[in-house]
Amino acid sequence: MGRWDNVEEDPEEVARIKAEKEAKKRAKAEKKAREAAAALAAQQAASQATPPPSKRRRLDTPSAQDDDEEESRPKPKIRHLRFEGPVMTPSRSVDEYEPLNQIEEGSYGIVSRAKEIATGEIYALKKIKFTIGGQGEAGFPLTSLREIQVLMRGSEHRNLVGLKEMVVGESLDSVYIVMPFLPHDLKALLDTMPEPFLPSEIKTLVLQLASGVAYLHKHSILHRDLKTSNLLLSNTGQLQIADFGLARYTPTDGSEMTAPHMIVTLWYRSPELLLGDKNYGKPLDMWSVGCIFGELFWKDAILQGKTAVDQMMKIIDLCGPPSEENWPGFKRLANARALKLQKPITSTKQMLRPKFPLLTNAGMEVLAGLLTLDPSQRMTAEEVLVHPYFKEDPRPKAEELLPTFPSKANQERRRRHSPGAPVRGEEGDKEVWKGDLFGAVEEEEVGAGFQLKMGR
Amino acid sequence: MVNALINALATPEQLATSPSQQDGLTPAEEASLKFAGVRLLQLAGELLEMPRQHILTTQILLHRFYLLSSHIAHPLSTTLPAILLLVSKFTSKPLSASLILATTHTLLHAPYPLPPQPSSFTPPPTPPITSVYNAESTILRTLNFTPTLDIQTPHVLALQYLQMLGLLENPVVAKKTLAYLYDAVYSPSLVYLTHPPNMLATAAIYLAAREGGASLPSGMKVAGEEWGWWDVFDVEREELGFLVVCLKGVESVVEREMARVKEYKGWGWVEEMERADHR
Ligand SMILES: Nc1ncnc2c1ncn2[C@@H]1O[C@H](COP(=O)(O)OP(=O)(O)O)[C@@H](O)[C@H]1O
Ligand SMILES: [Mg+2]
Repeated sequence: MGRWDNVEEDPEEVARIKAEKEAKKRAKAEKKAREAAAALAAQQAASQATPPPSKRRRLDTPSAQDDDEEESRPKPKIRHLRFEGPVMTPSRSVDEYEPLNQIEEGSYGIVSRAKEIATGEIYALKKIKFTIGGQGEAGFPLTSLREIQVLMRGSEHRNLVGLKEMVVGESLDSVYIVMPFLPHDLKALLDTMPEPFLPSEIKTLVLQLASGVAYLHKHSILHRDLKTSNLLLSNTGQLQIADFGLARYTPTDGSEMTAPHMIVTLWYRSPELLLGDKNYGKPLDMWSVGCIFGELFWKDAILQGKTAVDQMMKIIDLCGPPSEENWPGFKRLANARALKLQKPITSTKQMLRPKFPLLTNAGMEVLAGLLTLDPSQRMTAEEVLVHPYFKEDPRPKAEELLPTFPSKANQERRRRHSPGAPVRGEEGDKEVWKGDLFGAVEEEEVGAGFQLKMGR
Repeated sequence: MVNALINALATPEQLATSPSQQDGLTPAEEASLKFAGVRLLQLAGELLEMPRQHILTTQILLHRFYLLSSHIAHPLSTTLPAILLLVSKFTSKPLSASLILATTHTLLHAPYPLPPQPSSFTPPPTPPITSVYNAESTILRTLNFTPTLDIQTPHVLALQYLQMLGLLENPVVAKKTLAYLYDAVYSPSLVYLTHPPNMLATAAIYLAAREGGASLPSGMKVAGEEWGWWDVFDVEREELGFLVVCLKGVESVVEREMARVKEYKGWGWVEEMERADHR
C-alpha cells in the first residue's frame, strides 16, 4: 500500500467525531434549556421584570474580554455554551496544490490527483465546469452550487466523499473542489479485476452504499446519479459515494424538479423516470442501488439500453412488464401509452432468479425489492440496512479484509464503459450524453495482476 | 445536522480593519454605503417578491462580503444584483438575472421618493449582465463558497424562546421581537457578524417584552446559582446589555440615513462615493 493510502481516513474520522461531539453538546444544551425553562415557568407567577441589563456602551468589539471592567459582584459560575462558527475567509489558491496526474480520462478529464504542498498529502481536485449560455443557467452553475452544498455535508458520513476545501485560480471561472483522494472507483475496478467480488464482499459494499444513501435520504437529499463510476473505494475497503453533480434537496414547497429524463445515467435510470414521472423521489436512487447490486455480481452493468425506449425494454426483459396489478396507476405516466405490453407471467423475483444463480433467497428478496417497478413498493435504504440477507452466512466481510488492488489510480487511466450522465443544466427533449457512448478504449497496462488477500 | 446556534462570525481583527477604509473611504461614508446596501436589498427583494427570510439572508451576506472586500473595488451596483441572484438560486423560484439587475439598477438611480409618474424617469444605461456574473463568482470565492450553506437566522429560535417564556401567545411581543430582529441588520455595529442567533433572539425578546408591557421572569436559583432568564439561553448579562443598546440604536441610524437619502433625492450618491477618485 502506498503511503497515502490512509490519508483519507484520519481527517474524516476526526470530523465525524467532532460532529458527534457537537451533536451531544447540543442535546445537552437543549436539555439544560428545558430544565431551566421548567424552573422559570414555576417562578413566573410571582415574577416581575428584572432590572434592565447594564447599559454601558461599548464601542469596541462586544466579544472582547471584560478584563478591565470586572464588576464587583461575584463572577458568575454559570457556564454559557459557546459554539465556534466557521471563520470567514476567502478560498485558497489552487497553487497550494501541485498537480500530479489526471485521474479521469475520456469524458471530461476534469478530476486530477494533486499534492497539497504544505502537507505533502494527496487529494483529488475536480474542476467546476462553467456551462455559460446553457438554458436556464446564468452565472455560477446552479448544479455546481448544489454539488458544493451537498459536499459540504459529505464529511458528516463515512460513506459520502467529503469536501476538504474549495480552491480557485486566477480567472473567475477557475474553481476546484478538493476531496480526499480514493484510489479506486468501482467501475474501473470491476472492469479490471479478474474475478467478481465474493458474496461476502458484495454484502460489505452494498451495506456501505445503502448506509450512505440512507443518510442522504434522511436529510432529504436525492443523489440522482448513482452508478459504479461514482462510487469510490479506499484501499481499506471503505466505500464513498461521490459526484453530487446532480444531487439536490427535495423541494419542500412543491416546486418543480428537473425533468425526469434529464437525471440519472440511462443504464441506472428507474422505470418511473423512463416513463416520464415528474413526481419522482427517493425510490429513483434505490433503483440505481439495485442496478449496482446486480452489477457487482455480473461485473458488468445489468441493463445496458441504447435509448430510453430500449432501456425500458431491457428492464421489461429482466424484470417483467409493468401491469395494473404490480404497479397501479403506471398507465397515467406520460410515456406509458407508447408501450406495447404483455401481461406479466410471473413475478420479478422469479424473472431474476436464473440470472443471479449465486444469490440466496434472502439476497434475491433484496435485489427484487430494489428492482421493483412500482416506486412506491420499492425497497428503501433503511429496509436494505436491516434485511436478514446481511445477517446470514456468508457474513459481510470486514472492510479491511476486502481484496486490495494495485494502487494504479495514481497513474492509471480509467476506462469508460458507460454513457455519461445527462449534461447538466440543459433542458430539452433530446437525450444528451456528456461523453460518447463508448469512448475510445485503449488496451492498457492493467493486467499486472492483483494482490488478492489470502483466506477469502 | 443543521445547528441553529452556529453562524460564521467575524474575528476581532476582521472587525478592526475595513478594506473600504483602507481604500480611502471615511467610516461615515462606509456606514452610509452599508445602510444603502442593506436598504436597497430590502427594497429590491420586496419588488422581486422574495420572502422576508431570504431578503435577510442577502443582507447578512452583504455584511459578510464587505467585511472582506472594499466598496471601491466592488461597487454596490454589481454586488447587490449578484447577491440577490445567488440567494434566489437556492429558492424554489430562481429569478432571472436581468430582471434582478434591472430592479437594483432602477432603484439606485430613481429619484426618491418616486415621482407620481415613474415612467417619466430614464436611468443611465444598465451595466452588462456579465458584470453581475463576475460579481457572483467573486462573492463566492471571497466567502469561500459558504453562501451555499444556510445562514442561521435567529427568528425560529426566538419563537422557541418566546414559547418557553410563555410569551408566544402575546401577539404584540412576538411581532415586535421579529421586527427587532429584521431591523438589526441596519445596526452599524454589524450585530449579525458579531453575535450568534441565540443572543440576538434574546435581546430582541428583552426589548419587545419591555415595550409590549409583558413581564419576564425574575432571577432564580438553579443548582445553587443565581440565574437570570437570559442565562438559560446562554447569554451573559453584559452581552445582552450591549445588544439591547445596538438594537435600540437602529431607529436613529435609519432616521439619519434616510434624511440623507431625502436630501439627495435618492441613491445617486452611492455610485459617486464608491468611485476611487471621488474626493
Ligand atoms: N475523490 C476522488 N478520489 C479519486 N478519484 C475520484 C474522486 N472523485 C472522482 N474521482 C474519479 O473521477 C471520476 C469523475 O468524477 P465525478 O465526480 O464522478 O465527475 P463527473 O461529473 O465528471 O462524473 C470518478 O468516476 C472517479 O473515477
Ligand atoms: Mg461521475
